[in-house]
Amino acid sequence: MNHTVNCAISVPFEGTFPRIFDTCQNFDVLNNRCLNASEAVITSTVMDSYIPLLMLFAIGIGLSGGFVLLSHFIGTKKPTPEKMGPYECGLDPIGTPRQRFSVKFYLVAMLFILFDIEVVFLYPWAQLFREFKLVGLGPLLFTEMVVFLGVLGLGLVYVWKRGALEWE
Amino acid sequence: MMEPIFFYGFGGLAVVTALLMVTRVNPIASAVWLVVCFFAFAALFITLEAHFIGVIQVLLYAGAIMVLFIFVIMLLNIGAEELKARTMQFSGLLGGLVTIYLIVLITLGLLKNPVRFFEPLTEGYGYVAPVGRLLFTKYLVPFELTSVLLLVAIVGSVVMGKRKL
Amino acid sequence: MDYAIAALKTASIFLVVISIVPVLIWLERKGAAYIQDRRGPNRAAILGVRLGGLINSLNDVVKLLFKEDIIPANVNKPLFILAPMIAFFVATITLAVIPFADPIQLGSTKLLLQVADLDAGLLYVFAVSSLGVYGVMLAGWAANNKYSLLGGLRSAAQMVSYEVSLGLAVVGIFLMAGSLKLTDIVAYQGSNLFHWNILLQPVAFFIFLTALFAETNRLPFDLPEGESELVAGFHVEYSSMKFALFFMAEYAHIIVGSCIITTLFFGGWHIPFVPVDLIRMNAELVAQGLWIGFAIFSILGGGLLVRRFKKGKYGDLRDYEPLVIGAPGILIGFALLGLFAIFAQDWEFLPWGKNIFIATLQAGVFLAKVLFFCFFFIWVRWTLPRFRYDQLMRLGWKVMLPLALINILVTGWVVLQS
Repeated sequence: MNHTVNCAISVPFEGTFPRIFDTCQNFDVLNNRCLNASEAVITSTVMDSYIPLLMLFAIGIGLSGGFVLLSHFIGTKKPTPEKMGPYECGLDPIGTPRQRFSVKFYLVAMLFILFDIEVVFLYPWAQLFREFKLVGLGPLLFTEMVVFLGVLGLGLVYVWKRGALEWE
Repeated sequence: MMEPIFFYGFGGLAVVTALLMVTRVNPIASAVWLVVCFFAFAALFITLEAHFIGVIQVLLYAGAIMVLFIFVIMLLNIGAEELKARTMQFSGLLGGLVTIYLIVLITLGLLKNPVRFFEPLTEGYGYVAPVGRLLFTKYLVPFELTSVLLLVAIVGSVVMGKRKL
Repeated sequence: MDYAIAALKTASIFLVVISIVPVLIWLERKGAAYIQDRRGPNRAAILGVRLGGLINSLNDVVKLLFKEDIIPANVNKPLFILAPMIAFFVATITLAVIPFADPIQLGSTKLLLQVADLDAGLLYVFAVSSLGVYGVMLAGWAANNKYSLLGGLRSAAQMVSYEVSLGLAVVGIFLMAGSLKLTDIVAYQGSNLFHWNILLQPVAFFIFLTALFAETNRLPFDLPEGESELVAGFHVEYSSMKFALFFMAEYAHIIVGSCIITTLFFGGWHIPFVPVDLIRMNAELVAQGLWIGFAIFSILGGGLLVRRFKKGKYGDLRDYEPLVIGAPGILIGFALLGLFAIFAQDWEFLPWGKNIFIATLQAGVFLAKVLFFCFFFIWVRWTLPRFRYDQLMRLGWKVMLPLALINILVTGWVVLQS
């Protein structure tokens, strides 16, 4: 049961199997036949490409934490009241820095989310465009996106006309 | 063999960070823990072969929506005293009741439909292209309606943001 | 075993990229000196050897490590410490999907020269680089300083505004290549210069480049840290290694950004007009040519340096610097020529040696292109004046966003008709 190989990573066996191996998703090595999805036992393969990624994450976290710890231990420590106060070009600060700010910033962040979602839909569309064109569905896919972008373009025009993009 | 380790590891991380998010007093600290939680979610999606959704989880939830949250928290700058004045009475009790209700609901659901073991998905099932193929053919109408939803959101945010200018 | 190889590969890619950072800092200061007629780094020396100021970068590292690490009173301590770590972390993990060369075939295993060839490809880059906003925003908020908070807010608003254009600009490339994978995009461009995306998608290139400048908070978009308004913006209160983390993150960002520009628009690791197969067939010839070229370069460079030797110029060890570097250069050059004369006749690459040689050559070409774009960043910084904040927002939302959308539709139409 467990002797199936997933061909995506089976480069070491390349050339030793018949052509069917290229098209078969799950190849039974011992019985030399292709398995259906229901018969196959999926071994962990895709995760393998994420393990180096996790290693990079570990390096990034470790190094940034290491730097902070290192300077914490070997740096000198002579705190004075002036040093510990907030920097304001030598003057004593007036009031608290945590004041409320313009709603402008909120609006920008909100518009960013909405247009970011639009970008996310554009990516699979762009990737599939040639493929759809080959089977004759190109015009359909193009029209779909024109409609989608048209509606959102309307939104952009509205935001523009309302002056939400002005930054006085 | 690695997949269960990743699954339970990131699942545990998600639970722990979610608890931390709820228990922090400082709203910004809560938001940061929620970002870590979303990261764990993304990893869970990827262990479940939903690669595209995993990346989108980071891009949209961790990278865009939480940015807005932190923006709003920073812009409003509501102090602890002010926050206390706005908190509802018996909010703890209410939260507890809702939690118990949810637990009962999930337990009943599990009893009614016992856990089934699904067939494993083929590799690459959740890549960008397969998801897109479904999105632009079978789910064409929902996809186009999304643009209308986004338009409504754009108009709404501008109306609310510009009202008091 | 596979994991050991993966760990080794990941660590070495990380090391190569991170070791460019001090060189870039040196290049920045040297570039500033030449462009704006200032004094650049030229003092720090080890036994009189200054390497044109490169030793100053080494000096900086030691200095920053030993500086006092000030955490002001009234800051939010956990977030204050976390913010620079986020900035550095995000800048380093974006390099995961960048292909540095063709995969190497070693016997039966195929070694990818990139950390992970994810299906989502560039989408991954956008996903993790969108987290960079947190470093800036949390730093600004946690420091409890007016300049910091204003700088952080400005920076965050600017970064999110340009992120949309950044994401939209590259859609045209995906349309043509039919894939989000960076390896596929490099393969699509090939070694024919006229098929590179810089010529096929010039509008996308300019939008992407401009947005990248805004994302890295560099001049002409450095309002978040404009010293005349906000002193230093979000990192006013940072000192010692925490400041250095922000500093390194900025340069790491530039390097990764240059890598992505090279991959997307300039054919990645391809050498213009020289197909891979041509190199593969004539690998020995190329290696010999490089060998002789390096030998001659080393002799000529060494000779030039030695000629600059003048006794009593400084009156100390620094006088001998041209000799210390130049004389070994000449010797190495002649030694290489001698070795060539002895060994170069009947000599052939082993199969795996050939693969490694070609991959090294490709990685070298890739890094050369990347360094050019890094230099371009520096060049722009010391040449252009700063934008005003309303101009910046107008450019992002009213010029680049519509332009990027039009570019997508036009590209789609052209692909449809072709």
